[in-house]
Amino acid sequence: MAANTNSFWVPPSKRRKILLEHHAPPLIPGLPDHIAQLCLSLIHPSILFSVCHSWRRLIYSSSFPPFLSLYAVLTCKAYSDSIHFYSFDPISSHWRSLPPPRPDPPLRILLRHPSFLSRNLPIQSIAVSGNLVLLAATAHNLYPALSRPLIFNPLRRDWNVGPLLPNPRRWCALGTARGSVYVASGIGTQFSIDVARSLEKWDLNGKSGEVWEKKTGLKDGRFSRDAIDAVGWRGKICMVNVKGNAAKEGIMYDVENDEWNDMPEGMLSGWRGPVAAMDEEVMYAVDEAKSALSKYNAKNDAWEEVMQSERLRGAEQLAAQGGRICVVSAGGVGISVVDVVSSPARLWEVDLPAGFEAAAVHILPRMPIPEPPESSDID
Amino acid sequence: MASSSKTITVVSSDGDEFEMTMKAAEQSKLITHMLDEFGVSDKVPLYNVNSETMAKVMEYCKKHADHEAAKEEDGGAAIGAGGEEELKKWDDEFLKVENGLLFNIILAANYLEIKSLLDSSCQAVADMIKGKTPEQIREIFNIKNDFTPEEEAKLRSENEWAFQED
Repeated sequence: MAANTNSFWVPPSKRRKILLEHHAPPLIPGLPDHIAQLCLSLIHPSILFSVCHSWRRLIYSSSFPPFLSLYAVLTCKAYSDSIHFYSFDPISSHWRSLPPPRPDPPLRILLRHPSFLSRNLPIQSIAVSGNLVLLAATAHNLYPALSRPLIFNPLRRDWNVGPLLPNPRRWCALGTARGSVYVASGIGTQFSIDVARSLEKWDLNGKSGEVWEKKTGLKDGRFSRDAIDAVGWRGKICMVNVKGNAAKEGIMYDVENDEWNDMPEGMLSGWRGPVAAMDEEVMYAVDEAKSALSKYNAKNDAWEEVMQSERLRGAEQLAAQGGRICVVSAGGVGISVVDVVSSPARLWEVDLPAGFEAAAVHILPRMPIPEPPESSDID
Repeated sequence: MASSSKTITVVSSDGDEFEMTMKAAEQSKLITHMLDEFGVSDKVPLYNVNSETMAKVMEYCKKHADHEAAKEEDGGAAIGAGGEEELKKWDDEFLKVENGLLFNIILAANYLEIKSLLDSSCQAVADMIKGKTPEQIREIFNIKNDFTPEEEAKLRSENEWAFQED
């Protein structure tokens, strides 16, 4: 079991002192620990994990470069208005729940409503500059559930709030590029053509302070019908207005020139499911009908198939980083991870904690843990 | 700045004296700082470094000082395009020593604040670990295997698709 309450957290320097007082073995015999850490920080943590307990503790300490982990926004079948945040650590193969957001204001989300048939109402979140941001959802009175973004920082293990959104959304087009969050279109309390055409930008590096900046809007409300995962790619925010295989329109926002342009034909024709861009450089898409993962070739304006797998059928959302594509499966019942570096590409399944479904996955640095669990127990 | 023909003397923990040029001494932030504070006429005591290690550090500082000087002459023509790569190869060979000495070099580089030597020597330790099995790693560094049999069994199935790190 992970001890993660603040009262038990011991700062690394003090912990070293305590360890020395109890004659704990050095990380590398012959070197003081702070020097051994310099050497070990050059090794992939999956190697360190397998050598001994002290090397295993090291990779979770806040003085050690944090390795990437999977973060999931989950919903629970038993408590249908609750939203949960978990992280899957691929080094120990262990799910950990995030500390809950502050209870004030309490986060109560409406997931299902008769007017939306069998689909869940959208919950929209994004990863930006090493933070997890929750931005749009629906509350029980069919109002927007969030008037300001909720931000989780894994390294500090804490939640904060972002600037007040001028028009809180039940859903929108949500994307990130170069450390800024972009919110376009969508619907707030009720439909408004102004909101449906709007674009707002929030720069987390704070050059304009803690505000949403109004940017050049869309020419009509065609992108307001659905929750949209907009994709930041090479200085553009790219999006389509209909999910899945149906005919759709695509558009790209140029962040430097503050203008909207058409999406290239080839890019649009291959956008038949969820899309993500690795390092905002290489775009990947899952064709939910063909169950195929493809990579976009910008020079040829064409998609190249990377792998085909039944497990990709009906995929709902993607995250891409560290040579891996994480996929929320159809219905949110599971998560697949594709290694796109190896040739041929390989796919693994990640089981969710029992009783949960995935609304979204993101890839972020792991949280520091004072005492990692010794066994991998799954909820 | 003093001319490059000027030398200073450093003293190891074993009491041996080593002469180094100013340019070589500048490779070490600590020595540079001590010279600024106390002047160049006295011998600089480095009691944290033994003679065997000191000899290696002297060799490193001289090599890197010569490399820098050659870069400054001819606008770098003397070094050429492959110069940096050659220096790196020299560093790799230079660090092919047994663990005890390598660790002493790391400690000396840390103490003397020679960043490039600290970086290279730590990388040399990391390179010893890469590509090895956990058992081999433990053997190289004399580390006790403190996993239970259950924990060891789990190691095989864990951690199959971890993300790449930069």
